[in-house]
Amino acid sequence: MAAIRIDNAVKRFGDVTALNHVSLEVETGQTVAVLGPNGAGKTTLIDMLVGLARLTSGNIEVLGHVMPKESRWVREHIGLCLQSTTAFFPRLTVRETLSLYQRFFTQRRNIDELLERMQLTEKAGQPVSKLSGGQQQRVALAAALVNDPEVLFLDEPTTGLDPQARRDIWDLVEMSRQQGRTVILTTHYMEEAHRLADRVIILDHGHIVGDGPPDALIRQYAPNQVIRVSGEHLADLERLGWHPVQGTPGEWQRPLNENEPPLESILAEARQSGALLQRVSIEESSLEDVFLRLTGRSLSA
Amino acid sequence: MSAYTALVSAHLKILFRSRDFLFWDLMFPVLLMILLGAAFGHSSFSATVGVSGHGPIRPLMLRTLHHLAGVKVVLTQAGAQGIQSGHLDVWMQIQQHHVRLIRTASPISQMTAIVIQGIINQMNLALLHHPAAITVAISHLSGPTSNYVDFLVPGILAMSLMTSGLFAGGAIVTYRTQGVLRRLQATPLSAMQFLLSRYTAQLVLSLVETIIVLGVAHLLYGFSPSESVGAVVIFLLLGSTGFLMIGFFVANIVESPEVASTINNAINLPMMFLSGIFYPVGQLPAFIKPLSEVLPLKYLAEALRNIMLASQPLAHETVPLLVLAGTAVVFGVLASLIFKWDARRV
Ligand SMILES: Nc1ncnc2c1ncn2[C@@H]1O[C@H](COP(=O)(O)OP(=O)(O)O)[C@@H](O)[C@H]1O
Ligand SMILES: [Mg+2]
Repeated sequence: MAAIRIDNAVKRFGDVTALNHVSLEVETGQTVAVLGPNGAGKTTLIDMLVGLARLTSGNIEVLGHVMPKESRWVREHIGLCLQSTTAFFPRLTVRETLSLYQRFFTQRRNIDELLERMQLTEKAGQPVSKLSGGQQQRVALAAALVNDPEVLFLDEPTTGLDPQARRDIWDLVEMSRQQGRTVILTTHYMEEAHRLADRVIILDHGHIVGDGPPDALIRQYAPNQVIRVSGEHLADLERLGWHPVQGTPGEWQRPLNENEPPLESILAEARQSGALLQRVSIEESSLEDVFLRLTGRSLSA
Repeated sequence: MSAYTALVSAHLKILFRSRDFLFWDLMFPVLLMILLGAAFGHSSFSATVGVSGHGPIRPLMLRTLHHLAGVKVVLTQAGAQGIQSGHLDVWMQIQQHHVRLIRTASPISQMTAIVIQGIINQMNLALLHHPAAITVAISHLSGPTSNYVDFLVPGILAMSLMTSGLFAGGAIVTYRTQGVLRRLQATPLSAMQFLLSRYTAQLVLSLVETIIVLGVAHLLYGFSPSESVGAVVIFLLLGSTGFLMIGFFVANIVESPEVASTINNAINLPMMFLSGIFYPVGQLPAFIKPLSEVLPLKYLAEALRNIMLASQPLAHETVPLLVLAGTAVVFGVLASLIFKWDARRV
C-alpha cells in the first residue's frame, strides 16, 4: 500500500498558486526529500498532507485515509516537525514537553528511551527555551516520534543549524529510516537530500519538475562528470580542451561525458603532450546541477 | 493521565512559572487592596464632644454619649478654645434644663450635633411618658461610607478575575504566532479539548486568586464574608468564565500579541475605573453612569458585594446573574466559532 497518494493537488492563496497540479505516490518505508528553494511550496505540501490547511482542489490520502476528512485518524499515526523550532510551550522542561505531547496519542512511546535515543537525557530537566538550536531541533524531532508514527514529516529540519548539529539530525533521521518509517522531509540543501533520501522530488513554483533516486536524477539531468588533474608540464593541456580550475592553481579539468572520448584516450592524449600527471580525480555532478538544469536557476540563490 | 488533564497541568505550570503572571495576576490586586485600604480604610466615624455645666440630665447624657461608638467625651471648661483649635468637634454646655450645642461647619461636627439633638428628643419623650407615635428601627448594612475596606475587597476580587481572564487571551495569541497551536493542531487533540483545558486551568487559578485576596483581607482587616458560600462560588465561576471568554474572543480577532494587549488594556482600564471597584458607581459623573451599566465587571463586583456583605439571597441578584451568564455564553460561542490554530490565513 502506498503511504501517501496525492492526486492533482492544487492550493491557491489568492492569486498565488502554491501547489500546481501535484500528483505523487510514496511507498511505505521510503524516505523522500522534497527539494526546492524558498517559496517553492514545500511547507504548503506538508500542511496539506497533515491536514493543517485545505486543498483548493484535488485529493490526498495518507495511510489509506482521505485528508483532511480523516485528519483525526491520520494524526494518530504521523509525526510532524514544523519549520520553526520556537513552537513549544514556554517554561516547560524537555521531559515535560515530551510527556505532554505523548498524552495526545493512544500509541505512546517510553519517554526515557526516547530521550536516550535523541541524546537528550542530560537536558531532560531544562526548559526547552534554554537549549541550543540543534538541541531544540532534537526536542522537536523527539516530539514528532512520541507516538511511534508510521509516517514522519520533517519541514526543513536542519535549516539554520551549524554543520555539527545538522549531522546529528541526519543521524537521527537515518535511524528513523532504518526503523522502517516512511519519512518525508523538505530541504533546500541538496547535500541533505542526496545523503538522506531514497528519492528526491524537486519542487519549483508549486510544480514537481523532477522525481527519482538522487543518483538517477543526476545521471538523467546532469550526467557530466569532470576529470581533474595536477602535476607538471601541464601548459599544453589547454590545446586539448582542458581548463585551469578556478581557485586552485596548478589543477586542470575537462568534461567527461558520453560525447567525449573515453577516459583512457583522454589520459593517453595528455601524456603524449608531455604532461606528467601526479593526481587524477573524477568529480561527480550534484543535485545542484540537476536543479540548475531543470529550472534554469541555482538552488542556493 | 489523559490529554486533557496533562494539558491542564501544563497550563498551570506555565502560569505559575511566569513572573509576569505571579506579579500582575496574583500580587498586584493584593498590593492594590493593601494600598487603597491603608489610604482610605480608616474613614469610620469619630468625634470628640466637650461637656461643661451642670443640670439634672448631665449624668444620663454622659452615660449615653459614652455608649456611642466613635464618640469621645471630654469634660472641659475651655470649650471655645477646644473648638477653635480643632480638638473638639462639638461643645455641649448644660445649663440646668437647657442644653447649648456649639458646632462648626464640618460634616462630622454637624452630624454629632444632630445625634445629640436626637438623644435629647428621646429624653424628652421619656420624661413626658409619651408613647412614640412613629417608631423607627435601624439595622446595620455595610456600605461604602460605613467601611471602605468592606466595599473594596469584593471589587478587588472581581477585578483580579477579569485581569487574569484577559491575560489568558493574550497568551493564546502568542502561542498562535509562535506556531505552538499549529503544532498542537497536527496532533489528534481537538480545539475544544484545548480550550476546555485552558478553561479548567483558569478555574483553578481563580480559586487561588480568591483564596489569596480573601485571605489577605481577612488577616489585615478581619474581613469575613457572609456564609452564603454557594452564591459567592456561583458568581466567581460566572465571572471568571465570562472574562476568560472575552479573552478567548479577543485572542481570535487579532493577529499579534501587541494588538491583543492593546485591546485588553482598552477593556481593562475603563472596566476597572467605571465599574465601582475603587469608589461607588454613584460618585461617577452623570454622563458616564450609563456606560458603567454595560460593563460586566460592575455586575460582578456589585453582586459579590451584595452577597458577601449584605447576605443578599441569590434570587435578588438575577440581573447580574443573567448579565454574566450572557457574557460567558455569547463570547464563548463566538470564540469557539472563530477559533484559529494558525496565524496564516488558510
Ligand atoms: N497563508 C498564506 N497566505 C498567502 N500566501 C501563502 C501562504 N502560505 C504560503 N503562501 C505562498 O505560497 C508559496 C509557497 O509557500 P511555502 O509553501 O511556504 O514555500 P516553502 O515552504 O517552499 O518555502 C509562497 O509564494 C508563499 O508566499
Ligand atoms: Mg517552508
